[in-house]
Amino acid sequence: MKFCSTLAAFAAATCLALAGTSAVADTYPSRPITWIVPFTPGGITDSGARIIAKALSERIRQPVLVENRPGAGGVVGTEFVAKSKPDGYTMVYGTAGTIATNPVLYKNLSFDTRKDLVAVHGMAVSPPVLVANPEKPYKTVAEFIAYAKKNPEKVNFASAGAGTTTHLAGELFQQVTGTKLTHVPYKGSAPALTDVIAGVADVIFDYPVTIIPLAAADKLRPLATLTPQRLDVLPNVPTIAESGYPDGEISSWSGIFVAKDTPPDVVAKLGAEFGKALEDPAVAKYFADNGQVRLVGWTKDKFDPFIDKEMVKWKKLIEASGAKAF
Amino acid sequence: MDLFTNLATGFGTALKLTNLAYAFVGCLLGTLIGVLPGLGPLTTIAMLLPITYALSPDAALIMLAGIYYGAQYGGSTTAIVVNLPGESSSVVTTIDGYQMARKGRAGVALSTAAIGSFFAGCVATLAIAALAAPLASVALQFGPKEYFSLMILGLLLATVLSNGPFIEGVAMILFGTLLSLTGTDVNTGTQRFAFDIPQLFDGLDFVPLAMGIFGFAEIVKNLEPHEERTVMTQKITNMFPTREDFKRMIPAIMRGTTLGTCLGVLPGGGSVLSAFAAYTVEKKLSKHPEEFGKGAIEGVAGPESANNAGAQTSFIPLLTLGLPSNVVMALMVGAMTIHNIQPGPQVMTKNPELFWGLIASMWVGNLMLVILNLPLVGLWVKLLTIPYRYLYPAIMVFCCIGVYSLKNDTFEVYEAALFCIFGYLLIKLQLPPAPMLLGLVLGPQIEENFRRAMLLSRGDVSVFVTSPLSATLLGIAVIAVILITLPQIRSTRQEALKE
Repeated sequence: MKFCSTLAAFAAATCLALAGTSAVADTYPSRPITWIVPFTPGGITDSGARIIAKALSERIRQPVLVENRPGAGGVVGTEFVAKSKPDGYTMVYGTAGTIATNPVLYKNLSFDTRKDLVAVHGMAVSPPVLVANPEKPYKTVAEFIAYAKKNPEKVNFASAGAGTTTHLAGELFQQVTGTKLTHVPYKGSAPALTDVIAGVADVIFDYPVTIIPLAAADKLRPLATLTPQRLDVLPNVPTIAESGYPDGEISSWSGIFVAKDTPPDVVAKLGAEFGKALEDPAVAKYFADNGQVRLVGWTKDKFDPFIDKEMVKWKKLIEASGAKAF
Repeated sequence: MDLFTNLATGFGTALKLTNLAYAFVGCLLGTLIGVLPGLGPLTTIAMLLPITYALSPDAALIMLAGIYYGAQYGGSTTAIVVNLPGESSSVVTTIDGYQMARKGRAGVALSTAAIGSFFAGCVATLAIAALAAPLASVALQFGPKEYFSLMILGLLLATVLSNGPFIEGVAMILFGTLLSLTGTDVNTGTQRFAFDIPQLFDGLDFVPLAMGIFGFAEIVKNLEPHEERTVMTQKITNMFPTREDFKRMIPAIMRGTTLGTCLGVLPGGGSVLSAFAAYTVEKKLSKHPEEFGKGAIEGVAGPESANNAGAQTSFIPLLTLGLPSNVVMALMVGAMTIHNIQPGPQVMTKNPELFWGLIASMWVGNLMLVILNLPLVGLWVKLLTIPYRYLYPAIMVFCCIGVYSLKNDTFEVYEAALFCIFGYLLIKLQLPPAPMLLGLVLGPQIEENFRRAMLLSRGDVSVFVTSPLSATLLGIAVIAVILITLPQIRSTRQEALKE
């Protein structure tokens, strides 16, 4: 009876699988994983995701498909994952913006970024860098602060949009240094940078990935990084703390999240594999080149309390900035 | 001379057999994708990005660039054959291109577009090679106040797209501008007319609107039982342009190319502006202005050359500063990053083979496209002979796929369906949809730049006239209004006198 024996073998296999710590986690992942990037293709987030996805899929021997679902500063894609099947096969690229600031900016979201999503693993932190048009009279951050204090509201700081981290970093800077700058929002970083290069706007707080090549060509002058330590890619640029304002530190961060109710062992396994993918040499090189610090070893246990603290920090900043969406 | 050694380096890279092959694959894919309504270069490049991991950086970029301008070619095909603009720059082509197709001159229109695009591509490539740096510094001269004045001029020129009375065009533009108010306010982050729907936070997208108003509405109209479908029943008179056609299209191509090369450098709407600026220029200079809107060959030749030249020169901000001027360019930045090339001012010196190779491949790609497309003209025209009952479901399906693939979201498909009803209404009321779409595209730019200029000047309105560049543009706008309205006033007066 061939059929019976197949059946018996199948039953035995099932029993064996059940005998392990977890049936689901042993077989997971058994099919491709979709990684939702809630931004347009080609951005900083998208490139990073694609490089990690390659390393991750080699590790788990399943394709990791990067899918862009842009819209509303990341709300559309994040909502999609928050409401997806909690099986660990759909994960989302979460950022300080999509997880921490969006719930404050958009009051009527149909999901809760903390309750409907589970943090799986951290990815990287990226600190903004204060850069100025090189023709401007200030050459150091101290000179800039002195100039801004002497000319209140005369200095224009550009940002990638109201409520974005580039705007909020500027708000924090004003709070801690006691300066008054005029905020000029743009739609995205590229047009804002263009106007700083042209001298239409004076300064911008933007990320190293775009700043580094422009600073190297003397199109922009970096004044300070808003990190605790100097960046390896900008060794001559002092930190804001060195300049006497330790409270001015701020960073955007990222990590991966899945829908709530995803089995904890699946979350743990995905987190472990993702953590190892972060240590891949190609991934390490990409993040180092772009001035981002990888969050190696930041599993759920370490990532969760960090996010909780950040939620409070960004909320305060938004309320102080007056940026709002109803 | 430097230019020649550089170009020699470039052609050395571009003419490598593997790179030629990838340029060809890119152009072919781009053309096919462009022809599928709704599927644009953005989606294609995003989908193909992972495949390029295995390629060398120069091969990858050459292929992706090929897709980009291939799609520009392909996009005009649908605009002409089935009245579907795949992207904002081909809206203008639908006006006279589709009318030519209805008269059985689809082949001529397609060949004109291909020849115009090829010429424009060649000139723009040369401009990039020789003048990239000075052109980039011109682009930097354009701050918020200059952009505002340029866009105002653009909107005024858009009224010429309507063949009805001046006021009708103005009304449609204003309506489009009003639609564009939907979404997040740039200065404060406040939501306008978004009704808590996250998909509306970024405003109404161009593609679903264009698909609904042009594509779907046209299908509904063609399905009306009592009306005869002129498109499919007319026999095709001639495939290739005649001597007379050439005589009319050559100056139009020249002017379109010049306009496109200059305006394409400006990020944010440069290439859209160039297409209808070219149309306006042609309509005003033509000896047969009455033919415009009814299938004038200049109405295809000018804008098509302009948008292709613009597409090419929009690489300049990317190549000189590493700053992308549109979403497709942003994707090219992503592609460079993935291949370990830091996009920025130093690409030219650090990776000269790549930089000049890409430029040389643009020329190679344009040549391939014209070789690829001229024989295909016959094939596209044959599409029109397919019985409509088979053709329209196919158009519908491809449109839906294309609209969905924009953001991988069904919301946009419903949006297109809704605007189909609106588009049908416009057809019934005989109101021109093209100015409305341009209002939608330019509206946010006008508002944003106006408010940004106000922020920067601390509320001083006089900046628009004290900046020489801005003042010049506004001056041209005033003259344009006079030129546009004068004939109309005169004709209404004549009508009044007759009575």
